[in-house]
Amino acid sequence: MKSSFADDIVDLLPNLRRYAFVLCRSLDLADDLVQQTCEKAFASRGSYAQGTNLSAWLLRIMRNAWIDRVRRDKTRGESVDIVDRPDAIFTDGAHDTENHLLLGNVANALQELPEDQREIIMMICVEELSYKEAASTLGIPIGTVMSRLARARTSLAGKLDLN
Amino acid sequence: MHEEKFTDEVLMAYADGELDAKTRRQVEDAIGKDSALASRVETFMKTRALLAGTFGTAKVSVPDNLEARVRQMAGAQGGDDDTVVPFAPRSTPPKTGFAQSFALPIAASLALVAGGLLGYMAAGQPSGMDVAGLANHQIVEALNASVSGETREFGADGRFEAIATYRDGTNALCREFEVRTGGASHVAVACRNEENWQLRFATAQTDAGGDFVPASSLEALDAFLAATKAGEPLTAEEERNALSSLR
Repeated sequence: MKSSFADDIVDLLPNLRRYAFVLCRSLDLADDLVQQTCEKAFASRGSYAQGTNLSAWLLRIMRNAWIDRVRRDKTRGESVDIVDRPDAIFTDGAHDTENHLLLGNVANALQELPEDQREIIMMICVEELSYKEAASTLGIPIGTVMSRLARARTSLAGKLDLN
Repeated sequence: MHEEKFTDEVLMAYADGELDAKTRRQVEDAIGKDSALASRVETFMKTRALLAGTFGTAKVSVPDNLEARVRQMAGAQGGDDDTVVPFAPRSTPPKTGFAQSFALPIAASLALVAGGLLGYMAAGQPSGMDVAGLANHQIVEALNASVSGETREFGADGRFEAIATYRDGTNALCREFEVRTGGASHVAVACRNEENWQLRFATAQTDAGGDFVPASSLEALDAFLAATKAGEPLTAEEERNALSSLR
C-alpha cells in the first residue's frame, strides 16, 4: 500500500494527540504541540529515512518541541497549571460506561507518574516503539530506557492494584 | 546449583518480547520453576495489556480544524506526492499492533491473567499459584468431558461454559472456555500436553467490582489465538473423538 507523507501524518494524528496530551496534560497545549510537531515534520521531511518508524520520528520532533517550550516558558514552572480531565481526549460515544471508567482510572494513574516515566511508558506500551527506537528517540541508553520503563510499570501496577 | 537471578528489567524485556533467544529460554525455564518470578513477569504483561487495551484502542478525537491545518501545511510544502512512504504506518486502529506486540510473550505460553482466576483454578495446590498448571479438579473434569456449548455449575456461584475446541500450531488440543465465579467472568484457553491441561491464556471479561476489566480482552484473545496459530474449531464429531481419546 502506498500513501503520501501527508496522509501518513494525518493517520497518526490521533496517536500524536494522545501522546501530546499525556505529556502536557492539557488539551490546548497538546493541540499546539501537535500542530508545531507537524509543521516541523513537513519542514524537515528530508531528514526522515523512508522505511523507518514514522511514529518514532514524529515523537522525537514532538519531544524536542515540548522541551523547547517548557524551557522558554519560564513562568510555567515545573508543572502545567491547567490539567484537563485525563480522559478528555477520548470520545466516549463508542464506549460503554464501564470501559470509560477504566480509561479514566488508567489515565489518572498514568498522569500521576513523573513526566520522564509517562513518556517512556506511552512510547513503549501504547505507541509500540521498540526499546531501541525509544532509546534513540529519547537520546538515552537502552539500559536507561529499561530501568525507567520498569520503574514506571511497577509504580503503575501499584497504583492500579495489578500485582 | 545457583539460581539465576533476574532483574525487573530482564523480566520486563521478556514480557515485551525484547530478549534474545538465549536469555528468553533462561527466563522461560526459571519462571516455570518459580511462581514468584512468573507473577513478576505477569505484572509487566498486565501493565502493557492494560495500557494498550485502554489507550491503544480508545478512540482519540481529532478536531477537524487540526487535520485541516495539517493538510494545509502539506500543501504549503509543495504537494505531497514526491515523497512516498511505501508502507502502511502503524496508525490509529491498533488491532494489528496489539496482536504483534503480544504475539511473542503470549506465544511463550505464559498466561495473561486477570483477577483471581488462577487462584480459583489452582485451588488446593500447596505451592499456591502455578501459572501453567490447572489443578481445580472440577475444571479439569469439565475440560475432559463437556462438549462445546455445555455449561456446568460449580457450587453456589461458579459456572463453566465450554466455548470451542481446536488444535493449535503444534497440534495440541486446546479448549476455549468461560469461568464465572462470584460475579466475575473470565475467558480462558487451556491446552493439553501428554498428561494434563495447561492454562495458556486467561483474561477478565467482567469483574464483580466493575473495575480494571481490559476493554480489549477479546482482542487479547484474538491475538493469542493468532500467535499460537489456532486452527478452526473442531466439528462436534471431531471434538467427541478428541475428548474420548483423553479418557
